[in-house]
Amino acid sequence: MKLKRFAALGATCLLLTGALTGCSKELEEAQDNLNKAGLAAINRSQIVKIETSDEINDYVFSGADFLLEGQNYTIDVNGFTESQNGQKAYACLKYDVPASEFAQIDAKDSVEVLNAIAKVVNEYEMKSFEYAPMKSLTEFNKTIGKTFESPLDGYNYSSNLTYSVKSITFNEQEGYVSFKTNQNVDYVKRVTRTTLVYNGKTMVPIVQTQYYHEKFNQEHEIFIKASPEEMQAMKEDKSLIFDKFIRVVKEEQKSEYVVKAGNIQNQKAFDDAPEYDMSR
Amino acid sequence: MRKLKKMFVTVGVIASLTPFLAGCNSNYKEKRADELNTQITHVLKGELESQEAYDLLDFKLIGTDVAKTAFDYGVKFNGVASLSNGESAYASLNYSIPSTEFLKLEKRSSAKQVYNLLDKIVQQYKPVSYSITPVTNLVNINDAFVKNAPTPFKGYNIKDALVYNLAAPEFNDEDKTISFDVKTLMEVDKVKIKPGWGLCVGFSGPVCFGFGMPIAVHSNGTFTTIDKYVIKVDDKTYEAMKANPKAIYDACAEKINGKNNLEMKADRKLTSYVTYDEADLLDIEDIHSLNNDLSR
Repeated sequence: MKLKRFAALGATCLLLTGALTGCSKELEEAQDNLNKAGLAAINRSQIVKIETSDEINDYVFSGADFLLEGQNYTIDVNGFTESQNGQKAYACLKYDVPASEFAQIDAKDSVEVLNAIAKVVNEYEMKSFEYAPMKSLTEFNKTIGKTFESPLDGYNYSSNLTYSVKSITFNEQEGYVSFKTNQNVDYVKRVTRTTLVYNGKTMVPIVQTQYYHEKFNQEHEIFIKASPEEMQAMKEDKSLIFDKFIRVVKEEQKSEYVVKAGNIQNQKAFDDAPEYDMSR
Repeated sequence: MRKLKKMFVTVGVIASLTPFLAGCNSNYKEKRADELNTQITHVLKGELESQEAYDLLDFKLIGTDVAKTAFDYGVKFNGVASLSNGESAYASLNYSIPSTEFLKLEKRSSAKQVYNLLDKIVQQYKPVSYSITPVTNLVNINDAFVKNAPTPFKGYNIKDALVYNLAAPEFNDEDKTISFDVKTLMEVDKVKIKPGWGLCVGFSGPVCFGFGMPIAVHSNGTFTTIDKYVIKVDDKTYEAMKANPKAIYDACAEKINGKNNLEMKADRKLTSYVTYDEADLLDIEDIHSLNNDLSR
C-alpha cells in the first residue's frame, strides 16, 4: 500500500484540502464529517483543556501527516480552529494508530482516506494536542510566504497555504522561540512568445503569454529572538510569538529571526508519492 | 558529467561550489577559488597534524553547505582530498558561525561578497570539527551513488548530479549493520509542452482565434539531497569492514552495479532547495576533473 511505503521512507504523507477542491459531493461530505469529528474530539478531550481554555466551536481539517514507526502510524491531524471569543488558531491532533487500521485503505481514494482519518479521530484517544493561536491566520500565512525563495530557475513565489503550525519551543538559555510549519507553496513562471495561428486563410503571428505553476510541499522551522520579558509574555499568550514574527519580517529585522527550510517534496495526495526504490 | 552552474545557498543549506563565479571574469573566479582552497588546505592540514597517521596533500572544495541551527549556522566546506598514504577521500571542514555573518548575503549577492564571507570564515573562525572519508576510487563511488539516487520530484529528471559529501560509516555492533549518509547535489529538469491558443487582430485578414504552436517550457532547479544507506553483513565481513571502511563504499557501489548480493537499503532523509540560484554564482568542475587534479 502506498501509504505504508510513504511512511516507511520516513517521509510524511499528506492529504490536503487544496487537493480536494472542485471535487465530488462524496468528497465534500467526507471532509465535512472529518471536520465534525475533529471538533467533537477537541471538545471531549481533557488534553485540549490543559493546552487551552478557549471554547473552540469550529474546526476545519487542513492536512494530515503520517509517519510509520514500527507497527504504528503517528498521525498529525492538522486544522484551523476558531473559538467563541473569535480566537483563531492552528490545531494539531496527534494519534498513535496501528498500521493495520489503514491496511485495507485504497490510498488513491481520497474519500476512503478521509473516512479512515475520521474513524481514527472518532475512535482513538488523542495522544497530544498542539495549539498555535494567532490574531490572523491570513496575515501569518502571507508574511511567511514573503520569506520563501523559488527553488526553480525562472519561477517566482506566487502563493502558499500554511496548513500546520506546531512544535512551539521556548529556549530560554539561548533566548529564542521556535516553531515548525508545513505549507503548500505555488511558484509561477510567465512565458511570453510569438507564435503562429491559422485564421482560415493563412498563418498569422500572435503573442502568447502563458503561466506555468509548480507546487511543492515545504517544511520550515522559524526561530525568533525573545528577551526574557517577551518570552514570559509569549508563554502566557502564544499569539504574541506570531505577532512578533509578522512584525520583524515586515520591518526586515533580519537579525531577529531565522527561517530554516526543511524538506521539500512534490505537493501530493496519498496516491501521488514519488517512486523511491534505492535498495535495488 | 556536465558542469553544474550553481552556488547552493539554501535557506537551510548553504553551499558554494568552486571555482567559477558568474558576473566576474574567469581569471578572477579561479584566483579566488584557488586562494580559498589553499586556505582550507592549510587549516585542514593543521587539524589533521596530531590526529591522523597521514598528512593532507591537497584539498579541492566542491561545495559549502550551511545548516541553520537557530542563530548559529553550521558551515561545512565539503570537498575531496588527496592523502599522503596515496588515498583519495571525501573531506569536510566544519564551522559554527553566528547568523549575523550572513545578514548581508542575499540571493543576488555578488561572487565577490560570497567569497569574501567564505574567506572570512576560514581566516577568522576556528573549525569545530573535520571529516576525512577515504575511498578507493572517487569516480566509481560518485558514479554509483549518483546512479542510485532517485529524482526528488515526480515528473522531474536528473540532468546532473554529484556526490559532494560522503559521511564516515556508523557501526552498530548489536545487529551488525553499517550506515552512512550520502549528500548529493543535483540539477533536475521537467519539460512541459502546452498547445497555445490566442486571439489575433490581423493586419492582413479578419480577427481570428485558434491554436498556435506548442510551447515547451523547462522547469529546472538545483537541489541537495541526503540519502541514508544501511547495509547488513555477516560477522566476518563486519569486522573486516570495521578495519577497512573503504570496503563499505566499494561493496555498495558493486551492489548498485549488480555485482554482489549485499543486503542494502537506502532512504531519502532530506531534499533541500538551493537559493542564490538566480545569482548563478558558481560553477563546478565535475568529479572526474577533481579526481584527475588530485591524481596529478
